[in-house]
Amino acid sequence: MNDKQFHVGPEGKGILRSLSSMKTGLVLLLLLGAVSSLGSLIPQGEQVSFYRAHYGELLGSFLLLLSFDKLYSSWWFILLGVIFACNILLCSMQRVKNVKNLRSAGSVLLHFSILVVFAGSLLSGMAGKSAYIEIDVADTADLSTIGFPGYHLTVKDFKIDYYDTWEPKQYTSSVLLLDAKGNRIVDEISVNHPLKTEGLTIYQNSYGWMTKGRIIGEKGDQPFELINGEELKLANGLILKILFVPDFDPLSGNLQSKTPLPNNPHLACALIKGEQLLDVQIISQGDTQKIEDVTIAFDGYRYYTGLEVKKDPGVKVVYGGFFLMLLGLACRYLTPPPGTKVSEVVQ
Amino acid sequence: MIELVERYAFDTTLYLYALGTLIFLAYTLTERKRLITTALGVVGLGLLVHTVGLVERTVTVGRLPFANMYEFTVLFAWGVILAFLITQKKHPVPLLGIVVIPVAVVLMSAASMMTTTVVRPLMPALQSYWLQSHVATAILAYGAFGVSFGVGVLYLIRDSQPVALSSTSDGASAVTQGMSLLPSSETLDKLLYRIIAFGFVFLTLVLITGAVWAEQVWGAWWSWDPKETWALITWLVYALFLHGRFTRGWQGRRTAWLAILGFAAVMFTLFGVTWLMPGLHSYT
Repeated sequence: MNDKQFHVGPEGKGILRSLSSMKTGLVLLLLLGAVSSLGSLIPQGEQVSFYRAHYGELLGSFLLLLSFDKLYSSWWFILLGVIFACNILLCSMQRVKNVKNLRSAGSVLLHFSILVVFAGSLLSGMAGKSAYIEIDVADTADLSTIGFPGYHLTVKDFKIDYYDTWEPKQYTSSVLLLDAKGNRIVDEISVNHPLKTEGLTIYQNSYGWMTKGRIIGEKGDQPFELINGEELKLANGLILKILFVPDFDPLSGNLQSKTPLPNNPHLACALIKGEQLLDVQIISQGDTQKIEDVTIAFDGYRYYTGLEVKKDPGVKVVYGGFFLMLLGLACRYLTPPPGTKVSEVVQ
Repeated sequence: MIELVERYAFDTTLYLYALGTLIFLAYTLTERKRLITTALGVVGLGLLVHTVGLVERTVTVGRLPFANMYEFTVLFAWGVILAFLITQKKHPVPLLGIVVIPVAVVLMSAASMMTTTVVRPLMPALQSYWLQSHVATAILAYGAFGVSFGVGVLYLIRDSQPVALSSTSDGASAVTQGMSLLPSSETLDKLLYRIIAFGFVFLTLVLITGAVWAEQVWGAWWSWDPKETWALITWLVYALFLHGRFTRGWQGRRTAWLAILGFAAVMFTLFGVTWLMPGLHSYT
């Protein structure tokens, strides 16, 4: 039987020999699986204090020393990956000599494709970068501030489509992207439909309300723009905390928005001193209200959109690897084994 | 009314699968071959009603039932039974039913206990053609792995039974003596390999479609999300099986155990990760 061949060990000795053996490959597969599962059991990317508190001083310090808090990007995990890649490479190279048919070619291709995906992910890790940015509707952001020089992004509009139940159906940002060469790209970015230009990809990631108002004082007004839920530090240890209610329900009088649409926009303002809540007032758009000794005007509101900007040359390599993998799978498993007639008749 | 039809189809499916298991069990006790045909008929009818229930739900919600844990668990059971019946047609191993159909019964029972039967519209992240190919390939892979789990169990049972070896003209092959119910462990091993190879191809497709989709929706084709990690672990276990089978010292019982471990990884990826580990794949 063709399938029943044992993998023949390589000639030579030492590290190269064991690195190119099938048994090493099996042990590496086991190790990679075991280590990967550890990374899903130990919370990743938490504060240093978390590990000491959760696992005790000794074990916590040990985990941190070996980068178990960011296991998948630790030096030893990547080293394990590199060793695994070497094993696959050496195993495949020996088998290239023995390629007799489409089936065995498919198998070699399959192993080679894993190396391509691995190389692509290393390239992503080294040359890829991504950053998150929030831009208010009608504003323009200079993307050099987040590491993409030459690009300017204007958000012309942002809208949310809803189902009948007011559950969100789609988030869409209408944008204008200006690159260093002066090319203008007008497009819409929504979930599952990123904007793709030469090298740059922009994803719809988040959104929120931005509110605009003023603290009215005797010496003049102090304007503010606050993201919904944010705080503003005032004089005398006072803190102003705001909540935007897009569709205020005067009948219920509570702060629960009737719909997510800005049908009756109000700004709920809370004045806090230390731990103590002094007062809460609800201001309609265009109005001014006095809370304790502070007078607040609510002038307007607009959406901001949260976008993820990414440049990653590794993705194309990874996709190339996927393509080779599909090709390899098709050759390996869709072609019947030559010279063997599979007739496993039971009983 | 329409929900009632779906409910009715669901319950009938569950009962038919349970009944099929009982008839297979009766066969092992009485060894009456006619019972096999009856059991397969009952399970086949169960699959038909199961399919009707899924079509019903598709019509009711206006999309394929691919979007939450309840729907996927029901689809998983469907895939297991489909893979079982196809295996049974190509390589009849009647005892397989006793191990594999209960897997579907357990899955359906688990689904019936889920509170997420409520139909909710698709969230923006799930509105992609990749959802269909990602889930469809997963059903095929997981269905095959459900059957391979059964074959692995049968292999271990068969292997622990005394076997008389006799040489035949074309070399040494295990010939059974006094074993009318199970084929030789060599035959089971071959069957195990073919089913897992099928499942592995489709699991690879699950990972690729998932990666391409993740790149499109989250801007990262791989993020070590617990679900991704455990799908990769499942893939590694089955890769270990496929390679171990050709390596001295790894054959036989050890690879059969790998088939069982692989299915444990499948179940953990689906249920363990969803209920124990928060992540991006939280569509319960």
